[in-house]
Amino acid sequence: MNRTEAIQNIVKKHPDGIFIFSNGLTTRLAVELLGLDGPFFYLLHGMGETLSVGIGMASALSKEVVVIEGDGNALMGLASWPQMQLVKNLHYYILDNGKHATTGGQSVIDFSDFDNERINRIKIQDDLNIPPIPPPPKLIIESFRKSIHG
Amino acid sequence: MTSHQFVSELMIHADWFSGIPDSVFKKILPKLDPFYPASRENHAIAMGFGASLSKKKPAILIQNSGLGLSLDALFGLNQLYEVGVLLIISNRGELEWEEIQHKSWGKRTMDLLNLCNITTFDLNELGSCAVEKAAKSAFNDQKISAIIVHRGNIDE
Repeated sequence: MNRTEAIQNIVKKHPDGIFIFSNGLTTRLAVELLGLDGPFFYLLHGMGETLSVGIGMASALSKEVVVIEGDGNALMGLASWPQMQLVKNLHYYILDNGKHATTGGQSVIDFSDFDNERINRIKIQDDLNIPPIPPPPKLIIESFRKSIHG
Repeated sequence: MTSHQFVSELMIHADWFSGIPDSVFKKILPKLDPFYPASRENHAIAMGFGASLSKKKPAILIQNSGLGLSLDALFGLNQLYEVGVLLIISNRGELEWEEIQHKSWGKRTMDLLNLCNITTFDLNELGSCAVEKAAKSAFNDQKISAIIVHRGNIDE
């Protein structure tokens, strides 16, 4: 499975979800696939902080929040995994290609031994195309707010 | 100022709390509700950012040393998307008798905050008004705004 198929499958699985994507290729590809008109929040920075953003969002909403991030991001955010127990309405997906694809394919050390029942790890192959630079942050947040708060 | 007074004022202006414990906040932290404990300061900031996206007004309590771990989240989330946050920072290491490991931060905290364009509100100078002013800056003006708490400002 490639990153595109993984993202499409997850989005299809959560029709009422609010989605947060990690910075780097995950956001770039997701914004190209899904656009801005929907419950999608795209991080442009904040490596290792995607899950925490999702937990904070889920803490104050009754809807399902779905966090999708790469394995490099997930590794940096490992210290935030215990906080998942603070919220029930959160689904967490790691797209695992074993490398930091955005910065040139450097290896990510294997940390799958730490997974628990809240971790949905999906092994992926990288897509060949490099998606374009995502839209500016102001547009991302304004579109997101309009989509979920009206 | 008593911890009760500080908490009462804070809970008027903020409605979501996270952070990393410090002895200066010993009596404050158990009174804050809802409180979402974090493992690292950047994750506290990031959770607060997420709560903001759900229309909450987050306040994050950290030691000055936690600024080191916080900056990338503050720049890469709050500053980038222009979302304000209320920080409450204990300025450890300013006083003669404090332990040596706090001194580097005690010397540099205010300079670092100024360098990072973080607006500060000094609890020692402003008293309880600091909370209202900082909250207005954070949630009306959408700026990263910090209340600076000096050891002795709040009962421990």
